[in-house]
Amino acid sequence: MHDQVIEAIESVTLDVFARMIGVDVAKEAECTAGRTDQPPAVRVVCAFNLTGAVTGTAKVYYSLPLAEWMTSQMLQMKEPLPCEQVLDASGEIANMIVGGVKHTLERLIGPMQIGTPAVAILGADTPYEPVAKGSTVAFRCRETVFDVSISFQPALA
Amino acid sequence: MGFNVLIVDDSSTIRKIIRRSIQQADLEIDNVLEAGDGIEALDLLRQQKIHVVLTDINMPNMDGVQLLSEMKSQEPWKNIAVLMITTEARADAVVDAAQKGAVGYIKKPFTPVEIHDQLLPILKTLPR
Repeated sequence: MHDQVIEAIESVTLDVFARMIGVDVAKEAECTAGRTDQPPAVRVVCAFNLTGAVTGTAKVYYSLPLAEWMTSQMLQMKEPLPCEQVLDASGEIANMIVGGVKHTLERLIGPMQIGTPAVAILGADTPYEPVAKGSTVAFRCRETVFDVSISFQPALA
Repeated sequence: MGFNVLIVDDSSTIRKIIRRSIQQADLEIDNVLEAGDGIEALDLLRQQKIHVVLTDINMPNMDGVQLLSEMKSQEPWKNIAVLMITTEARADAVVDAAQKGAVGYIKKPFTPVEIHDQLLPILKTLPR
């Protein structure tokens, strides 16, 4: 099941970035838990609860500069942009990614629902907290790497 | 004379992207209005002549399906074309909206061309 989750995350994320932002991103790495080599950095985190046939958590982490750049590209506006706009845009992209992954996995798992995302900017001194024992894919976009992680409780076989 | 389009989505980002897509698409659209949920949309519908509504499904206060149902039950609005914009590509959600009177849907993520291709045939059917 891990392989199907990874494949879903990869294909959906590439599609969302190509369509909404007009940029190609590349898969950098995958793992069964969050990457532990993360240097301290200011990040935007978008967190979702998944319910239904299974319960789970999804998180998307961007660096703040990447989130600001994504927003400027989507809106075709120059930086700096209002913080609320960056958070809204970041949440929308994450919502499309997680929604697309959910739709793909529903064929295997059963119907699921996504909660409203919690979107926040985390300071550099806040620990990076990936999902526990899930599927994480890191992508490279421009000079930075962002993560998409999903975990299910209990873990899917 | 062109048409008036109402975009309903709780995300200002999505509203701005759709607005820009419409404005760049060289369609016969005079005015593009925005609402953050179904309640705001109904307020705008009471104030202005709207020809097409593009609405998200999942919104606070009043969601897109509720808005669609409300519009189809009211004489001034029941013939307004409604397009659903959604991440929910499930067949049942789309069928439900179609049964309630939606003329189509646009799935997120979308490109400006997809916005144009959905709107153009709708505008062509509208009386002038």
